[in-house]
Amino acid sequence: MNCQEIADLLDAYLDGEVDALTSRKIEQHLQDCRNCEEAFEAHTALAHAITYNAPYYKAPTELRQQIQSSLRGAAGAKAIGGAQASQLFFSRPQAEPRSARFAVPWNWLALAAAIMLVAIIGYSLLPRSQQPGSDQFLATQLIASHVRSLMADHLMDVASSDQHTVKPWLDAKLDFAAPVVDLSGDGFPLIGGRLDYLDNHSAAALVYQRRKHFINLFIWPTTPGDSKTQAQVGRQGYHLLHWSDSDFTYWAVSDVNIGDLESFKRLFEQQTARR
Amino acid sequence: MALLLKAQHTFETEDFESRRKIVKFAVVKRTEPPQTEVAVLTSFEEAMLPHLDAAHNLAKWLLRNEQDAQDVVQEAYLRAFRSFAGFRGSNGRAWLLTIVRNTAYTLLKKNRSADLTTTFDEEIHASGHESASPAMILEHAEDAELIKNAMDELPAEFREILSLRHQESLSYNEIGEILKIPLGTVMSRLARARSKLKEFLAARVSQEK
Repeated sequence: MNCQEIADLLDAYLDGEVDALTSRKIEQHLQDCRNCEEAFEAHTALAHAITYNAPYYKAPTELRQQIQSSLRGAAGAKAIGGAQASQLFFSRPQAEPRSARFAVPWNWLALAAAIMLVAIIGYSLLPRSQQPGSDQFLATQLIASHVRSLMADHLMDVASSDQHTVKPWLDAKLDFAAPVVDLSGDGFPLIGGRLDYLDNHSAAALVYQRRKHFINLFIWPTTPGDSKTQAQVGRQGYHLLHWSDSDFTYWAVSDVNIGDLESFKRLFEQQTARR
Repeated sequence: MALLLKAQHTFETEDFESRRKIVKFAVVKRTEPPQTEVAVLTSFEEAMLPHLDAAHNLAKWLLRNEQDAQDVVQEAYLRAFRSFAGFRGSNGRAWLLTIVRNTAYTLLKKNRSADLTTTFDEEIHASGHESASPAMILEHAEDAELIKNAMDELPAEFREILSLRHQESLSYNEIGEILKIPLGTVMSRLARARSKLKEFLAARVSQEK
């Protein structure tokens, strides 16, 4: 490949959009050619500057509320006149009597079933924090997943130190866009990502390395039931660190010492806040 | 209380339910109840509200004005909701951003066609400055204000593609889908956007000196 060909492909190469063979050829050329390497560095620096230092305009909270209320208006306008108009004003628990349509004639059995249903729903609606041991159970799941990932040689589904490879891969497989940042500059290189299933929902697992140790960072969208408080658990020689923001719930699991895990958390938050 | 009841009646209830289920299936098969507006709204919100920041960010870069951006995002969500039934894909973010972009361009065309210098004339805008060197970019990469101003100077089609690629980390495929352009054009437009941005950065830095 000559320099002109490299120049034409440099953008695609930076974006991880060339095939493996071409990518190897480009790498080879960059090692040998000072000019092209400089051009690539400039490209990388620029990409980095846009990613981390250009403002990311998050939506203000009012906008979310305005949108939700205008959507309700639109949904209401459609529904009125339709047979389901009244349902718009029913919240979920009240929608339940509809299933009574399918119920057998009223008898003891039905009464028992109804009571049981109410009991189960009531139980599942209880805030998580009121369930004793729910966090303990989650911690067990998290450690199990961490250990399994190291044991069965299934640490990563996508092995890449490039956040621009890992993030799109995860985004395509999950119904949320988990934040992915590389912390290799701070001694926590990103080495890949994985899908996981925890606490009854899909989760993104990012794998970071700290010297010879691995850190699994589990991420899923914050739901009202998730505990908001930061927590730190130590168990079976593993450390778990939990925090959350308005969008996501995070659990970092590793056998590194808790100080390292705390600084990992701090760096991760700093990097995501800049996006 | 709850557990007690459950334990006592589990067997009977399951037995009873399995008999009833056959009837249920028959009913559902013949007349599938229309999905209610509420259910649609809930699934729409679950699918689309997570992308609100992305929608707002794109609108803000395109319009460079907070009020317009908010209006456009709100309008885009309403449009998206109306055509949600037609959404079959798995990539909700790309789908929503397409609508945000179209809505933003409608506004730009109506109110500020001067902003839409889409056929960006490289000759006129050639600043005569050398493109920025790696050292210069590295030196000023932390200067958020400088980068924002230089990006704001770019034409809309360059602002949007840089934001989609670097802030949303979208693939060429997804970008092509949103901008309705082929992959080759995504690549060449990104290349031009970056080289233009480098030039503008260099121009701003040399002005400051």
